[in-house]
Formats: sequence, structure tokens, C-alpha cells
Amino acid sequence: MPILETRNLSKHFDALVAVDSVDYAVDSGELRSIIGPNGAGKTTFFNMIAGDLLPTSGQVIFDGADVSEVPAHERSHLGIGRTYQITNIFPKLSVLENIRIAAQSRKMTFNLWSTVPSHKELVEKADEILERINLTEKRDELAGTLAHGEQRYLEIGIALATDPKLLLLDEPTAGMSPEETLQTGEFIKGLADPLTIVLVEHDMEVVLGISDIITVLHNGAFLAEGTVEEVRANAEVQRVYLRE
Amino acid sequence: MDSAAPKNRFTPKEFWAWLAEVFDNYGILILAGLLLVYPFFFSALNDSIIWLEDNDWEETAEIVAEIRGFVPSTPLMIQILIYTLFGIAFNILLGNTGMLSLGHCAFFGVGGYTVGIMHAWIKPGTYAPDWMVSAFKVLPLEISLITCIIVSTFVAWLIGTICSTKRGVYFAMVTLSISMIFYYSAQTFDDLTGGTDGLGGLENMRLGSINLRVGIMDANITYYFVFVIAVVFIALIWQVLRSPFGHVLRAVRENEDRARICGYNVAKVRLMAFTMSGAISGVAGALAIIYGETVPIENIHFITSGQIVIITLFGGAGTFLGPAVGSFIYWYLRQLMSVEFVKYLDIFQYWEAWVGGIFVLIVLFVPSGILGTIRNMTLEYREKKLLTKKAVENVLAKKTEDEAATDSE
Repeated sequence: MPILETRNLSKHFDALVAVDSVDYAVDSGELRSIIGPNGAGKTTFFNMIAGDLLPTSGQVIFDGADVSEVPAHERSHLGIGRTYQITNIFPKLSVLENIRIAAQSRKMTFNLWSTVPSHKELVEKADEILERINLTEKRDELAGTLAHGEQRYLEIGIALATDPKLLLLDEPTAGMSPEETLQTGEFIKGLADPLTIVLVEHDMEVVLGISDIITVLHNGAFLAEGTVEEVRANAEVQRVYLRE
Repeated sequence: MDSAAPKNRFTPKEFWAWLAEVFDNYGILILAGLLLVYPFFFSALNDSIIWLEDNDWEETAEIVAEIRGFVPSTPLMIQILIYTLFGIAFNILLGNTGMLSLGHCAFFGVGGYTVGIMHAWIKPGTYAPDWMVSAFKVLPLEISLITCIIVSTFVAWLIGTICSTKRGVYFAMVTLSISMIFYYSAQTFDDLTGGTDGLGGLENMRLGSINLRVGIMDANITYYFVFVIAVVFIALIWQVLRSPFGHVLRAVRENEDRARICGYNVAKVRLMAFTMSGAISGVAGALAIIYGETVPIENIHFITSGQIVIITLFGGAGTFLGPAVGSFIYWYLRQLMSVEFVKYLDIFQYWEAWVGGIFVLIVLFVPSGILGTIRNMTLEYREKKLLTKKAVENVLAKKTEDEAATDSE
């Protein structure tokens, strides 16, 4: 059974059709990519899955339940984690606190009578994630002072701290150097299975290198889907990308 | 390493750093201790003047009396305490959740009117039903204060559900307009509230349990009454802000969208913060009218909202005790200008203009407020010290390594 499925998912901004009846399905443990030229509706598609936007029509089915109308914060609790194309962290909180606050959301919100240090397990979990994203040394610095690449990793760390089943990564390598991009690709591959990952990418190298299956969107509509070779060989895809 | 041992512990810089450290850790306790003995200090000052006069030291007495004019009196300290509580409650929103409310006068006023109306009208021969009057020969303050907390919590929750989904300037405008509804209601229902004349007839307010009269007659007793309640609620806010919930507030302030995607119900968090802030502001409003024994309509007017914004920004919205500092400066300056300075220069009778000017200067040149700026400076100093320490350690480590290398050779 697919962990994520969209049926006829559409989003209209007035006359503009950003996403046009997309049917999509991801199996648990897969590492999938969505590519497409600028304005193909990739981010809008993500926003509807994560709950930042509500669809105009169609359904989002996650883990067997229709979540089309479920607010974003509840989807996070169901197991959808995401990062954004433009880095979205808590810049004026410490690196550790960025992760810790995300981990805390799994346990408590309205806990008024305890203190933060008394919940050691949250700090331990945060430290563990910092280890994974290689930021242990910077744990007490303000997140806003990190280098761009580190901030991208931190954002992935924030998403991981919410124990997602499905991780949506919106251009995780945006703005990174070619070396960093390659490293990040390997890192993302390491996260997959049991985690299900869908990423939106511009950088074909990364996408082609690590993805199981690639989906191509064009003008908000489904264009092609398949393995790296299949998509590469697809005449439609070539036409769209060459024209760009 | 003998060379690394500190030679002189009390260089001035180290002394200041030590002072900052002490204040950071025990600042609240020191402040509370000073405030606890303040009325004794001020009474002693008064007594000393009388004593000097009695013993024919007229000239010295005059000098001490002159100095006393520059020392905040106990009644002024009551006012400062009340606005400290109000400011810290207000700062749950402004400093911690990042919501600028311009409608906090509504809570301050509602809290005051709740207590005021109960004490003014639960008496024989007024609006109150007979059973109520016979139940309370003299209404105890405990009852009215508890009612005040319940009423202001409810009002804050109600206003919060309407406006806590708004952001930034819209939130400020909605809270402002709702508070104006409260103001005009207070003005319209003047049978109950006394309208623009204010609500009087509150002269017998007692704590029933210990049969203690509180009010304008005895500043010292009222001071301690206000002090205890303010400390209890400030401690409550302090706990809430260091709790996991407090950290969620800061997360929402820093990045609302991120907090939401992390799984926090941002709307609910904001509503909760708003309700708490409003409820405790109501308590501050009640304290204000208990001390004044009258409810002036200004308490529910926008000017009170403006005051609390100024007080909070004076001290520093990013710090816990900022509003305390702001409250002290605001009321002390006001007192100094309108009572003391005016003796020398007429222009100081327009104290609002001066305080406003200072406010402009603070916002322009020290935007993090007085306490906020001091804290930033301390942090910077510590950072520098830490870096220096690290650099020194590195050099020393290298030296030892080199030495070890030469030894082995």
C-alpha cells in the first residue's frame, strides 16, 4: 500500500492553474524525486501534501487516511515532515534549541509546570540528530550565524526531529557548491528506508544519482515517470528541458 | 601552569563581569530583597527628618528633605510595582510571542472595574440583591480578586479568540479597536462604572481572612499587599516562560511557519499566551484601583495601553525584568519632572513631552531597551573572554606539544 497518494490533486490561484489533476503514489521506504522546469508546480504540490496550502480539488491520502483538509500542524503529527526551498529555521535560537523544540513537539506543547532541562531525553535526541547532520560543534551557536549549507542541514535535522514517516525535501541542495551537493545527495540517500523521501530538485546530477523513481511535472501537470534511464530517454521530457 | 594562574582577581573588568554574573544569577532575588525592605527605608528617611527637626538641626533637616524629593516614595513604589506586573504580563506577548497588543488597557480596566464595581455596589441600598448584601457585610478582597481573575481570564480568552489569528499590524489594530469598545462601554454605562468621573465609594476594602484594611490610607500595608501579589504572579510568569511552553512561545515568535510545520498548533499557542497575559494584566488593574480606592476611566483608555508599550520598550522587551526597569524609569522620571524639576524650570510641567522625547531617543539609539542593551554588552564581553581563553589554551597546548617534541628528540 502506498504511504502517500494524491488523487486528481489540483490547485488554482484564480485563473492560474498551478497544479493540474496530479495522480501520484509513493511506496513506503522509497526515495523519489520530482523534477520540472520553473513554474511546473512542484512547490505548490509539496505545499498541498504538507498542508501549507489546501487543494482546490482532489485528495491527499497519507497512510491510508484522507488528509486533504487536515491542518498542517496535525499532518506533522501524522508523520509528514518537510523542508523549504528558502531555508526556514529559527535563526535567533541556538542550533540545539532548533532541533530540541522540534523534538519537543512530539511530547508536549502546553506543559507549563516543568522546566526544559528536566526533559533530558529531548536534549539527548537533539544531540543525536546534531551528530547525524554533523553540527555537534556548533550546537550552542545561533542558527542564523551558520553557513548556508549548514543551515540547509539544520533544516533537515529539524524535520528529522519530528520523527516523520515521509520527508519532503524542497530543493535541499539549493545554493550549495558542487561538492556540497554531492555530499548532500549521499546524505539523503543514507536517510531513506525506512524513511520515505520525496525531493524536489533542480540539480539533475543529484536527482539522477540517488532517486529510485523520477516524476516530471510540466505546467502543473504530470508529464512522465520512471527510472533514470526511462526519463532520460523520454522524448517529451527532452523537449521540455531543452526548450528551457 | 604557573603563568596561566590569575595574578590579580580584582581588575575592574573582572569585577564588572563578576557583578554581571551575580546579577544574572541572583538579580531577581536581590531586587526582591531590596523591594522587601523599601518601605522601612523610606519611613526611616521620613523619621530622620522629624528627628532632626526635633533636635534643632533645622538646616540639616531641610537638606535631607530636599534629598527626599529625589527618592521615590512608597506610594510611587506601589505604582511602579503594579506597572511592573502589568509590563511583565504584557511582555508574555510582546517580548516572548512577538505579538504587539495595543488593547491591554481593556484587561487592566476590566480587572479594575470588576473589583471596583463589586466593592462599590455590594452594599445595602444599592443595585446588589439582598442575599448578596447579607452574605457579605463587608465584601472581602479575596472574593473580589478571585472574581477579577475569572472575569479577566474570560474576557482575555474572548478577545483572544477574535484577534489572535491576526498578525502584526492587523493584530495591533484589532486589539486597539476592541479595547476602544470597552472604553466607550465604560463611559456609556456610567450608572455602574461612574463614567468619566471615575468610580468612587471604595473606601472599605479589607482582606477578610486577616481583617486587614488595604488602600490609600496606609501606604506601607498596601505596599506589602501589592508586593506579595505581584511577586506571586511574576513568579508564575517566570515559571511559564522557562517551561517547555515558554520555549514554544519563542519558537512561534521566531518563525511561526516553522513552528507550525514542527507540529505546534500555533493558533492555540497564541491564544493561550494572550489569555494568560490578559488575565494577569487584569490582576494588575485590580491592584491599581485597590491602591487608589477609585477607578479612573483612564485605566481603560488607550493611553494605558500606550503607557505599557513605552514601559516595556524602555526596559527591553527581550528581557524578563525589562518592564520592571522600564516601569521604574517611567514613573520616577514622571515624578521627578512634575514635582521636583518643575520648581526650577516651568517647562518640566509638560513631563509627557519629555518622557516622549526620551522614548524616541531610546527607540532610535538603544532599540533593545536599557536592560536589553546591558545584557547584550555582557554577553559580548563573555564571548570575547571565552574566545581569548580558547586562543590562550590553544597557544599553550601547542607550546606543550613543541616542548614534548624537543624533549623526545
